[in-house]
Amino acid sequence: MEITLTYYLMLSAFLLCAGLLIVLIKKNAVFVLLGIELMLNAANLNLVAFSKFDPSLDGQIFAIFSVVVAAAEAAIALAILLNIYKTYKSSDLDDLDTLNY
Amino acid sequence: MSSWLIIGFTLVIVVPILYMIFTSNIIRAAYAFTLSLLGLAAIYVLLKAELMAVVQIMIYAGGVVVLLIFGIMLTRRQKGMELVTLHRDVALGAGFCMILYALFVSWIGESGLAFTEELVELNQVKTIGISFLTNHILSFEIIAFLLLVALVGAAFLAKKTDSI
Repeated sequence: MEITLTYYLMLSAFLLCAGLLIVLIKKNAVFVLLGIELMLNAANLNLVAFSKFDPSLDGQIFAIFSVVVAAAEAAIALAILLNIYKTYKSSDLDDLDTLNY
Repeated sequence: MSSWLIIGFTLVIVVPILYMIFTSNIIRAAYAFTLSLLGLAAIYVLLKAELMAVVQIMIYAGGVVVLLIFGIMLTRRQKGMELVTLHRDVALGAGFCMILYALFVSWIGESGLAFTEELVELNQVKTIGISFLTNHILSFEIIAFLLLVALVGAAFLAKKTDSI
């Protein structure tokens, strides 16, 4: 059985759709962050799979940039989440319904 | 041989993700997420992207997951309460994502992206390192500055204050 680029693209599409599903259906904010990380991983897998056929390796370089941005995003998102939890005493996204609390 | 390895590691990725979708226990979902990240690192090795695999293990499986687990632990409502989450709009979300996946599959199928010449690059890390400091120097500096700003900002946001 031959594994071609199409296989990786399908796997990446699955990761993206699963991440989107988690973002859409879960109520907890940390769970939504997990879904966002899954979607970022889908993008990385796409970049690395394309970079297998590119001698300049630009895909891998951009994948590494994207990992760094994902790490920064996780740190900021958790800091914001801790502040939200201090204010609302809840990390449920449905409870966050007032501005200027 | 290699294709069976790839299929096996694909299962290591896909099964924990399905578990994440169906479970309502957040901490178990975080561990399942770690497992699928390690499976992705193995796929990167099989795609001949060793540096990317190491970065994946160090930053994602080592850093981001630990941060997320800290987040789970620190935002628990009460001591001794089980860490569960509720779902909402399940039918709508599942239907939308399935339609999206079907669209992706059909687009990938008709795009005809079937490259055949595989790249055999031995000194990948050296090539990437030189590329970082020549062709992509601006992106490299910007990303370094972004990381600094993000981490200082996160520390500032998360510090204990009376009023924020």
